[in-house]
Amino acid sequence: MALFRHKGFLLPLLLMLAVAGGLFVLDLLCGDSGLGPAKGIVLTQIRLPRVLTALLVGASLGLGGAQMQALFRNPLADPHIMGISSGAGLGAAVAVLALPSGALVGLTAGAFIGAFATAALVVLASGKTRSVGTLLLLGIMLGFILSAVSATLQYAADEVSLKRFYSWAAGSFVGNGIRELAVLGCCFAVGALLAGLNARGLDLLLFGDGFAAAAGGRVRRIRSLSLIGVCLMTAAATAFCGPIGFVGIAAPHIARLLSGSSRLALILPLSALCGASVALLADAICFLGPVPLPAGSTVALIGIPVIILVLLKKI
Amino acid sequence: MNRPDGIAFSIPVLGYPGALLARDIRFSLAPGSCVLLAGPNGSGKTTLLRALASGKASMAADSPLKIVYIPTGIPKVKGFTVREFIRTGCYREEDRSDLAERIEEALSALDIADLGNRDLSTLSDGQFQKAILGIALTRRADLLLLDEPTAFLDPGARRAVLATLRSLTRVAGSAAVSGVRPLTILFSSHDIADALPVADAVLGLTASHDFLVSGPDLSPQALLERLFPVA
Repeated sequence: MALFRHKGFLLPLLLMLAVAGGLFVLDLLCGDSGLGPAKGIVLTQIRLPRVLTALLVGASLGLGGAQMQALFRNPLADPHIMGISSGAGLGAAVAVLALPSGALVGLTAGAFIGAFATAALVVLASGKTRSVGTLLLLGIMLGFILSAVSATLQYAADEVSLKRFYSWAAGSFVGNGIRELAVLGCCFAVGALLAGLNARGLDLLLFGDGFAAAAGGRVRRIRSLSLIGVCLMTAAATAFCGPIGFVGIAAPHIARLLSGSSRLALILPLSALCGASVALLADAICFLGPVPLPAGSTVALIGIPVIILVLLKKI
Repeated sequence: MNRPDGIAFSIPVLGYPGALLARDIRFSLAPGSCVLLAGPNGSGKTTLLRALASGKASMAADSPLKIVYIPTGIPKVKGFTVREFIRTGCYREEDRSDLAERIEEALSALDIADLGNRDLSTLSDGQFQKAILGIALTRRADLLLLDEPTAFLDPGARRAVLATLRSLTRVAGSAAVSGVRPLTILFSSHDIADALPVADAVLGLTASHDFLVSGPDLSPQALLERLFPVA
């Protein structure tokens, strides 16, 4: 394949595969309970699902971020920019209020419904709007409205429910089982397939809608296909792990930096690997302190300096 | 104006929802000619080019024409080489088997073979405009519609791009690039003084929605005076 002969692809690809693999092992070695006598069970039942969750969520957000930055021609776009995390937040808030004594499944299910309902709205809107700027504004406004409703619900909620809501909202890769991993994996597979099929179309959008249309690209179709994949991946990731930010912004920047290219055929796989690496590293850092930290915070602690450095072009 | 060997166009109504720009536009382009489309802002130049590109205009020619439209204001995206950019612009080419060869042919016809692996962000505006023309050549256009190819260029680059347009219609006319069919170019521009010497004919859209064609009865100079009357 011509792609593998591209000097900006093979080396960064091998490098990121090695980095992600190394961080995968490192993250497996980290945990809040010692390995002890039940070593095998702790590793396979607790740590492996957590590490796999971080891997899948990071890769999903990296893949989503690369597409959103191309779609909106904006280096600060990320998978959450269309309001999906706010939708998930509202869903979670409703679940917490409606089922105050319910199990955590209620919250996750609520977040899941909220995220996918928002995703459906976004995809629907993308088929109707002509301008990408209008679409971006719609997404941001949608996010604000959903957050506002969610804040109202939180205001009225009791302390126990709030605590549960906040621990979801802080973001964490902990506590997902085989079922959740299967859903995350399926959403990632569909998202990756759509992204791969759409890579050339997204390249075209980077040069403007007018250019894309003149070259024979169907702009709204390319946009909607991409959004279906991104929304699917983001909705699943957010429902199970809370709103994990910054991976989606940082990963494509690292990918572009490593490859020196903006072609999506190169950036998509590299960005997925970079996203997975950032998430795995952030998850490992969670367990360095005396008490486990929320992954949402450690991701931000790694992600934000990367974004600032990239914007200042220091790396 | 309907020359026997010309490509004849007619557009009954030019406009878009909410705006009628002109009625009953008829003109023909001589194959291998380089034609300037002039007119004040808002007169409908871009709309006319888009109508021609989208097939909304009825067209009479000896055989079906490959029409390529290039809009204005294409960004120089960092992280694409000239070759990758041209390939991206050939998004919906049916026959992709010899695309690489066609790109090389286009690069050498434009005399920018040495820029093939350069990142777009490192090109001058004039060089980038040539890379854009590379897309049209690679796509083997018979009729190339260019919206403001000289916008934002400094005078040197502007003249270089215009000279390239002129030479492409001639090179193609001698069957070096596009096979046997000559390349015909219709380009819009506000840089009248530089564009006029390279243009074989001038089409004009006035602010009051009249469509003008230069010819034996109307010299390009007289046409331009009607387009841009001194207040």
